[in-house]
Amino acid sequence: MQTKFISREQKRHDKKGERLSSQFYTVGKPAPRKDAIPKVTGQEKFTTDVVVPGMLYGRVLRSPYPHARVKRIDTSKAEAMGAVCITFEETPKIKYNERIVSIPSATFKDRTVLTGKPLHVGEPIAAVAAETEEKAEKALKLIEVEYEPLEAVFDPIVAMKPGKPNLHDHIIIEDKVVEIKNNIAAKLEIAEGDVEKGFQEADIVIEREAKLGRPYHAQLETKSAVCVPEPNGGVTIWTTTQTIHNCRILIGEIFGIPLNKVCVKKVALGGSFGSSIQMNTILPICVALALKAKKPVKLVSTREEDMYDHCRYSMIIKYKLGAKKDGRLVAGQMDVVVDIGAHNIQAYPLIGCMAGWLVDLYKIPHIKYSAKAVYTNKAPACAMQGFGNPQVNFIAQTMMNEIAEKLGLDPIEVELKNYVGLGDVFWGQGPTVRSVIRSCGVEELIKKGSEMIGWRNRGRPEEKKGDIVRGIGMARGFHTSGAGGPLPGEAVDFSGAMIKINEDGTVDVIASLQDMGGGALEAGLRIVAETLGVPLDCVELAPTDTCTSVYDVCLHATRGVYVGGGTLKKVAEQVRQKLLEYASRILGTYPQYLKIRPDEKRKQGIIYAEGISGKEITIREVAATARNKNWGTIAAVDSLRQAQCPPAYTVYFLEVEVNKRTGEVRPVRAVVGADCGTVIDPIYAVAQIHGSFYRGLSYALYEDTRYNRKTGELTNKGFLSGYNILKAPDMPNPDDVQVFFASTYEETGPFGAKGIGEAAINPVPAVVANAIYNAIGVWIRQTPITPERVLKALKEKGGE
Amino acid sequence: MVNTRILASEFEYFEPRTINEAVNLLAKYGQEARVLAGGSDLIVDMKVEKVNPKYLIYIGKIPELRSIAKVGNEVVVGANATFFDLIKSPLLQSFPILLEALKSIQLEIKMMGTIGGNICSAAPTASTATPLLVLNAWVKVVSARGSRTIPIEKVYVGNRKTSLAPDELLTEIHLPVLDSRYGTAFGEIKTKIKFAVVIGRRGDVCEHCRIAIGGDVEVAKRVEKAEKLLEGKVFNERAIEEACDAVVEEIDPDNWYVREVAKYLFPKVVWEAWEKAR
Amino acid sequence: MEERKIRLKVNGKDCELSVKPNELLLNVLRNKLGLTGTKYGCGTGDCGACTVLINNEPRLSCLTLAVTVDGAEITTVEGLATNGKLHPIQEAFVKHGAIQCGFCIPGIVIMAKGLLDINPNPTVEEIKEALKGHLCRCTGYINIIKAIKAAALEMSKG
Repeated sequence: MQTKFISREQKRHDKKGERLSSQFYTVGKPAPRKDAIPKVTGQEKFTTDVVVPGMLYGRVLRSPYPHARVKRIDTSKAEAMGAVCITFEETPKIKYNERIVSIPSATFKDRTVLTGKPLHVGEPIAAVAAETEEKAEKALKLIEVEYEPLEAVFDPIVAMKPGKPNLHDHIIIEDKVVEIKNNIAAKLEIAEGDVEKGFQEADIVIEREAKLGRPYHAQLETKSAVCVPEPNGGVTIWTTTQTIHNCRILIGEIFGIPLNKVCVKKVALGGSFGSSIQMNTILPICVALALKAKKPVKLVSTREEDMYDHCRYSMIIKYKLGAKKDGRLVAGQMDVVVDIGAHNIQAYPLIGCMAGWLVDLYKIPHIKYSAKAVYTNKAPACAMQGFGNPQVNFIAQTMMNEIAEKLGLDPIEVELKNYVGLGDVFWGQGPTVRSVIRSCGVEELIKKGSEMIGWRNRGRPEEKKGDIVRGIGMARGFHTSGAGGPLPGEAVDFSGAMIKINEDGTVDVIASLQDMGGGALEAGLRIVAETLGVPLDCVELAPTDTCTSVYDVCLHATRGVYVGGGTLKKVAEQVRQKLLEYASRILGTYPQYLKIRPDEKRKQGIIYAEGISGKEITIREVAATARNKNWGTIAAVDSLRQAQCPPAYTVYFLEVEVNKRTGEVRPVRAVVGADCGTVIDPIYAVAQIHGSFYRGLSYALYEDTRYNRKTGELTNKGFLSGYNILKAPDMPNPDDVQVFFASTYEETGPFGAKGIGEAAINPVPAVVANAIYNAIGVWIRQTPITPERVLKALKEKGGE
Repeated sequence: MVNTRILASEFEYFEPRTINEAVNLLAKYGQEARVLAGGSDLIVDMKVEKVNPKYLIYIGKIPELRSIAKVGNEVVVGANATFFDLIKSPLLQSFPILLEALKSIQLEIKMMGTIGGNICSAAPTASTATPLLVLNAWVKVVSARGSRTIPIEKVYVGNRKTSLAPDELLTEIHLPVLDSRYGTAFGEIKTKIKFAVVIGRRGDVCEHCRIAIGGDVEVAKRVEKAEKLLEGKVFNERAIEEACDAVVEEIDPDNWYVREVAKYLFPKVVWEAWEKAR
Repeated sequence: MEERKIRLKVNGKDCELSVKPNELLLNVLRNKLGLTGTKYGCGTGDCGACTVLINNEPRLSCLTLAVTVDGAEITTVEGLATNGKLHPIQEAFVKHGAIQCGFCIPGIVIMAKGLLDINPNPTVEEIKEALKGHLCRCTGYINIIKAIKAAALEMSKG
């Protein structure tokens, strides 16, 4: 254990001669983000705000049945009133998977632009476009459809039984037809060591089941698209997406348009949380409408449509865990059934990642994992912050606490005996990619956090009297920074960027990386400013589209700072090199002797030869000279694949108040420790943690989409009014949420930085359950942990 | 699937300036008309196609419907007074349970929502329902045929159903000023359950008692059985328990959770009212 | 449906518009006046993204028929800054890191203006309660609450 501390201290000093964090000019210093002003004044343009002259408004006709065949569809009345109509009969039949983050052999294609065989309520059948939304609405109501309802299945366990309706007879992988049996969309089995032998060696074995709910992303901006057909046969697109380049590739493939004629513009995104890792369902519909209408079309989902479009993976996890008397884990066996809904957007990478989340949490010598992903007639599940990690963490961290309780040990002690940390092999996003952990602040976070919350004084549940009791829980989590690794793997994971110096010394950053709101690109700008040695004021993000930028896979997997920022650093270093070369020509020095410092007053980077007076020049002068002497533009463009995906760690301590008579749980105080390596911006890193904490609490305590098993409809019909969600009054007060950071340095990351976002949500459901246990002595392993479920659990305990 | 981005429904719109004008319009179009006040309920219902009126009569331009005045021993509130009008009115400060019940409404709805609209929605979860019931409020309704008064408990006749005829307009809510010796209390657990209680005491004896239940029940109402179980009795745990059983009977037996939390909340609310009574 | 003429004073500027009775104020502001700062989030009054000030009161523009506010003064997020200077509430949101994706921010900033007009020195509890009708999925509300509190302090200094 001691070695970990020594190494951490060593890591603070950069081996490659970079400055210590205290010597950074821009990195680590708070500064307002550049998009704050447009956003706070209402001037930021989101997809939903894009207006193109002459544009039509689109509306989608969606299936009212969870499973049906369209026998007849007639759009003549809608067309007679002047609306442009498209149906499944005329849109491209090519099967696609809207998420192409995985390589083709790991991408399961099972859907088309529109369908005549809807597999969930809300699946698009047809669409219209007209001059106004009102007219489009009228036209939509005039489309006549005759459906043949088919038997639907909503329970994944039932769906696997023989004789149940097959949602998909076959799917396409690369160009091969693959048969689907018993609605099993994907499965995976992994074993290391000898799990049976492991359980025999264990002094204690417990086996538990957890059921995890199906929350909806509830991003504030509903899925939207605007498409302009261009005279060259191409299209220009604005859309809610985490990846403009993948949208471009898919639109090109589906509609047979050469990619250099598909221009997807980057535009501000009103939240996403994973729901736009894939091309949105409505985008190809919008494109099809625009191509048919030969006019621009805007298509904005209503909240109801949006809620029928995407959600988190719900699942049932069984876990058997064996430990020695001293708390050391010896064997674990996990069996997972995932309810993926009507389409396989990314179940295969999900179950692979979950294996990674399992083995990267604790060192368990003997382990066995199996997972099945099953189709049901529900809205298709997709990525949502954490991607299976909160689910695995929930059962693993609550069982770890339970084992500690049963063995009479402090959960913290058991945690420190078993966690995967510095020097250990890390599976990253799945079993195929392994690397070694080079920075880890877990021990520091646990020690400091436990003191801040008053862990020792939390008391035992049986000592707590009265209707309203409090409890303190602890849980720990991690997430990978990106999906990189030493081998190519099954995920595409690289970023690209272009940086150029303008003639006045300012800097354009052309990066196709998206920003969901967390500030990945803001962090990127700090990294560019730091690398170039210019004031942050000099660096701006250029408006970007797929035609003028190089490829970036997607903003997901907590990769924004580590991979996106790492790429910007790599490119900025090349620009810096060129700058120094040009400056040396002018100054008559050797480039390797030159340095750059930002001059905030002159709003310039100053290139200077240290210790030699008079040998200095502004970047403006260098750039202007380069132009006037025809040396060319000082610019660089490059891509970066990170060969690791280092874990960002978080440790949560949470105090809850439980009303034993109503089952209500109120989070009242939290201490959050985070290890994200170097903190690029202290305000926004904390803000990221606040957001993840909030969404984790809401996931743990409130959110779920529920289905009417007769109609296949959402019980709330897709309205936010009927969707339980954590609101401001139920959050702990600002002063009662304390966040602190580990003093780590990730040598492979830009200026020592790793990711943070998803690491900060993963342990939240578990910490809630652990805190509830400490309050009332009951384990609840079903999310959301509603007051009903708490009360029921208390009654069952009382009845024992 | 409906489109909540727009209001797709089409209707003829009227903006009467007087009560007379309004009731004449209602006389003409009553069956197919709806009265629009704050809009926070009705526009949602129209968007989701729960109702589809041919005629919409907006009463926001009738100044007298927004007045709040003391008349004799009553405070008379115009039906179009917003929740915020009530909260800031000095006259309403003597009805703390009504103000307490408005607390949990979001700020924008406090500005938009009206007391008349809240009554006419007749939702069992309506914020004003339980306090109005125990305050013995009554309403004045006007039509071209004349006017009549209805005690509030006779207004709520079913789930989201009032006893108002289609041509009638709710114009005033009358709140009798409570005997200052009475204690009042309001309590709620989110949308699950709401209680409002008024208690008059003499020594250890509960002399007078009014109890209203709302929330996840069929209709907001007075629970007379429970009131009778407390009235004239020594106020103690046993009496409350009996009254509580009667209250819980009002809740659907399948709704076990609401029954459980009612058992927790009800005694707290009656105790609070009791302690405030003098 | 027949269009009606209405007069509005939007962000201090008089304007006359023709609207159908079923047109929502939200869509009039966004489509006819080009004020796209105010957002559609849910259409049912559950998210607060469409909040504007109508005669200085925060109200939901997605549940307000434009015809009913004839003659009213409307303030949207675009109308808060004066002469290019941010309103203290906006300043505080920027300074306290209260903005992430930013889609909910116009509605929240406007609500905060309405709140501080009626309650210049709200407690944390009162701010939380006022935020009840606003959905923000990025910030966990923490920095938003801090920003509103700081703005109140700043504004009380005059």
